[in-house]
Amino acid sequence: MKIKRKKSTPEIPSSSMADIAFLLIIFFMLTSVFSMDKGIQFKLPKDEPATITQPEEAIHIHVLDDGSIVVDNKPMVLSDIREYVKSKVEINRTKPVIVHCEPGTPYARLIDVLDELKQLELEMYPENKDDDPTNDKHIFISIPTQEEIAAWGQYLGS
Amino acid sequence: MKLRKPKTLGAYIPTVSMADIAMLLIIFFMITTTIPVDRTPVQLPKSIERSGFPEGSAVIAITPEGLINVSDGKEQSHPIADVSDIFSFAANVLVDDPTHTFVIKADGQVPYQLIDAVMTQLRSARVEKIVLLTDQETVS
Repeated sequence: MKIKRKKSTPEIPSSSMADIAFLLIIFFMLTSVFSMDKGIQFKLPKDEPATITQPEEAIHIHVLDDGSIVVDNKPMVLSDIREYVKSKVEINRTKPVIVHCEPGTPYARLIDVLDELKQLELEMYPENKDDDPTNDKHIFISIPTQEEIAAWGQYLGS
Repeated sequence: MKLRKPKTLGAYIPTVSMADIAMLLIIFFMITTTIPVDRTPVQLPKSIERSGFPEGSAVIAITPEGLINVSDGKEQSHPIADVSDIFSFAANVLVDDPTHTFVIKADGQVPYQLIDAVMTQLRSARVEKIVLLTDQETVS
C-alpha cells in the first residue's frame, strides 16, 4: 500500500517579528538622545607672544567678581553693551573687543556678555547665519589670559 | 419567504503591517539619534545665539566642584586628575586632526579662573576652534 505523506511548505516564522521590532524601538528611544547640542563658537588665538593692543584702541569690557560690568571705565547693564559696542564698531570695524573677566566671575556671566556680542555680530553680518566657514567677517572678540591681563597691568586692574 | 440571516463580520484590528511600521521606526531612530560621549551632569549657561559644531568633537566637561571629564569624541569621557593634563589630551587629539573642534561643557557656576586655565592649556596645545556649550535661552 502506498503511504501518502503530507508535504509541509517551509516558512520563516515571522509571528514574533513585531514584538522584536517594538522591543528594539523602546531600546533606541531610551538609550539615545537627539543631537541638539549647540554653543558659542570662539576661535583661540595662536599661542605666540601676544601683540599688546593699546587699551585705548579697543573696547574694554570688564566683568567683575559680582557679575557687574564696566565698559571703558563706565558701569553698564548687560542690555546696554550691544548698543555701545555697535556705535564704536560701526566707525571702525576692526576695533577689538576685550572681554576681561575677574577670576571669581561665574562662567555664565562671560557667556551672557559673549551672547550679546554674538547677537550684535549677526545683526551686523547677517550672512554669518549660514554657518559658512568662509564668512570671515567678525567682531574681533578677545578673551585675554591671566598672563596677558598681567601684561596690560595698571589699566585693566582699574 | 424566509429571509436569509445576514452574515456578521467579526471586528478586528489589522495588524499585518505592524512589523513594517515598527521596522520603519527603528530605522528612523537609528539614523536620527546619537549616543552622547559625555554624560557629566552640569547646568549649562543659557544663550540666545548658538551655532552647531561637527559631530565627533572632543568634549571637556567641568562640574561646579571643579571635576574635569574629557572625551576625544569617539570614546566615553573619563576624569582627569589636573587641569594641566588637558595639554597632553588635546595634543593627542590634534595628532590625527589638527583642526579638531573642542567643546567646553562647563557649569554656569564654575569660576572663570578654571575656564581660563582650560583655555590656556588648549591654546598651548595649538587648538584653534572651541565651542562654549550652552542651552537655548527663550526670549520672553
